[in-house]
Amino acid sequence: MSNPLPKADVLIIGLGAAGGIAAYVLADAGIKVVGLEAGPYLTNKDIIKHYDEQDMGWDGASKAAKEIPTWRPDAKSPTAPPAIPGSSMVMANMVGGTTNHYGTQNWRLRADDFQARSDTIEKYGEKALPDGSTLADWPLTYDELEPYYDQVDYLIGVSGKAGNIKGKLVEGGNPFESPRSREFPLPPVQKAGYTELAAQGMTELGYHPFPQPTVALSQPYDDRPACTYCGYCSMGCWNDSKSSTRVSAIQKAEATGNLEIRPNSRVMKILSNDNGEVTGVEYLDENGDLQTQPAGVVIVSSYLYENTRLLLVSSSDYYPNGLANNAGNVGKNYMSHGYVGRNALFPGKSLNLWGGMGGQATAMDDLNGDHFDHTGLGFIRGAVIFASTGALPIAISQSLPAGTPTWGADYKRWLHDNGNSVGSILAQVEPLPYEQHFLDLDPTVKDPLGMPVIRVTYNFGENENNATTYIDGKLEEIMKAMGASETWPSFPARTPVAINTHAYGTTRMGEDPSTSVVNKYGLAHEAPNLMVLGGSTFPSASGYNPTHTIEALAWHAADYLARNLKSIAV
Amino acid sequence: MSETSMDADRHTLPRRRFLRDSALAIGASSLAVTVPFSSSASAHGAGSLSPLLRGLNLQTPASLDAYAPVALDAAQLTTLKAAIDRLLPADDLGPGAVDAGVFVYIDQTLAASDEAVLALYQKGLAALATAAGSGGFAGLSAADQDALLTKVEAGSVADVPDGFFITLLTHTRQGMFGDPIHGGNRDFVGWDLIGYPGIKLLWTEADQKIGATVAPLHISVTQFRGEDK
Repeated sequence: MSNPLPKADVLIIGLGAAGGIAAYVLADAGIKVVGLEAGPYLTNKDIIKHYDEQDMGWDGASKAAKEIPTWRPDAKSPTAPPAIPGSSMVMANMVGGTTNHYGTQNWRLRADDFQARSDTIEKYGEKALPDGSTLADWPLTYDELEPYYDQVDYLIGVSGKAGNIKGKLVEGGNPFESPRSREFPLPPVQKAGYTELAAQGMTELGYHPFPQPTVALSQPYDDRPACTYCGYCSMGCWNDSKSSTRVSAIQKAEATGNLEIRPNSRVMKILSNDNGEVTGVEYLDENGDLQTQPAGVVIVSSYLYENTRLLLVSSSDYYPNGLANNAGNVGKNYMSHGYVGRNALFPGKSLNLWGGMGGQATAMDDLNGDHFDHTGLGFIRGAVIFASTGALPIAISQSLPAGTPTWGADYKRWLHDNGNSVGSILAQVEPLPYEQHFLDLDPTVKDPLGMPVIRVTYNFGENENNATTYIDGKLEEIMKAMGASETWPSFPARTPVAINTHAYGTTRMGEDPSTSVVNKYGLAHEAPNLMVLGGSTFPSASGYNPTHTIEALAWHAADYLARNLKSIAV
Repeated sequence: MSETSMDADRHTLPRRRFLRDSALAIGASSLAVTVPFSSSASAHGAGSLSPLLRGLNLQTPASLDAYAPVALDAAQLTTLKAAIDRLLPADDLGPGAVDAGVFVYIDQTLAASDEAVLALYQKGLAALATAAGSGGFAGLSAADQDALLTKVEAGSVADVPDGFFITLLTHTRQGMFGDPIHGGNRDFVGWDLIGYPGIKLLWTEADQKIGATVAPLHISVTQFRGEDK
């Protein structure tokens, strides 16, 4: 290649959930896009070679291979190994990113998730917000984003049951959801005995269970076959029936002739000029040679940790503290989803959970958001709760109730008798952002390419500890209502996952440049032709999995960019 | 048409594209999976194996008795085999960790691991042999072996490094219940014990019912690696 390369209209760094959708929208609008992806371009033929519980390597595509951050609980402590090993290990560098291998959960936020701060103050008063919390309303509403959720649903193929269509409640769906403009493109995925059992237990306790929305295709869609529930979803789909952005959006973008994908290309620096505008990037190509790629617009969509790192390492005369960071907001307001889970024994029942995945689940929203009275509970907001299929044998051999022999003949007999009778339930707890939780560049640790890694400063506050303890008790009740003889933690309460596949904040969106980094279209306040996409822009976390909102925001932003390219591009 | 075969059709449509793209077919009736990918690498050049497999000669030994270790020495291997034989013993429920080749899994894993992990084993196995007395750990009765392992687990045996027992137990579970491609779970005895049927690409609604009987398929990821394995 020659340096510098011919200028691109739009350059996208990272072709995952956000970058993949943005690439589709822009290419479809006739805009020439170059996509730089740090990982390889795998297909289902590559992916099925990793249908192995011990093999999460994806031919070296794990983001952790090059990007794993360090962690410390607070700014006074040294960095230390996290209590829960970094689940960033399971983020992937590859075309389609982590949509290749995520659990397929596909949630929209509710209208109240966009205004959690003002709702909380209105109902419980200002004092209900914990000290130091920087919880903020979003600069856009559910109604503004709904058409984009809808377009993503129908582009990629989503299975589920509506609970609310245009304000009218629909039997069988989530009664708490905000109005959809229409039904899901596909009906819910296959029922499993265990998901039916969960629905019975939740109903018995007065909750309102429903089939969890998922991007596993319940029926053929868009020339792709239906899910076969093989159980290896977290290694990627062998069958193209998971709606990763790779198979549902990126390949369509390529077919327009407007998207050029360069896999195995790692961006080292985003370049900017004396006016604060971005002009392109420097990257290592697949041969390890440094290239300069000019562009009129640069979109950073490389997942939260890398988004933040790329901005912080891309300093210049204009941006001495990192790109788009003259106000000092890059890295602030960091949040990581809280989890709490229980396993349970259903003696004598062959549950047959080996097939399926996290998306084949019965979910409930009764304890999420503000759907229950928080007075006196010591926390605000809540958790989405779901019981899913999917189990693999090593994990089962390692999850035992207290008092069970852990080795020897009695252990062996326990596994023989009960290995197919252990079920699970999981809750995702909404964490709040705080002043004291942030990302910065680690002053000493560097990656194999010599670039500083991200340092995470994060811990649970009292709000998060109280919430996970409360929810844990509810999980126990639900499992007992389902007929469990005993339950035990599959995931400990009151334990943060500091480095997480569900991470938020750090390039917050907002209207005020003194407290946020980007506007509602992901355009940086300080660098008008720089767009940042992904969970890093979320002002609050919600209890839901982030991917669908990341995709809807990417469409919303790319649509705006496509209509205003001439005035935005430099 | 039965529900099951309808399900199978639903999952394999559109069939022509499905076969073209995956070079892999699910027979609607038998569920037999035929392999094989003609090429080990995609057009975009996927390459190396998982870290566990990297650099290892994974020829499964014809006879477990004749296995020549690649990381441990012969005395260490003898102690290791005796120890895992107590962690998951052969009994009326079926073969144990030794018959499953778990020691092959551990030895080959150690050959690809950091030196610190190998050193942990070398020190731990030596301390176990020393604590057992002149006949070594393998020379003790089963009851005495269990008693000594219980002390090791409690951390009360001299010179056994911290983390040795939990590492040994974790590796034993991985070798027993992981995919046979890694050298353990020979003849799928671990999966049969725990009730896992093997890689089963199609789970029908009937298969996922509580109480349904799902026959063992004994399919390893080896079948999907083609010449790459």
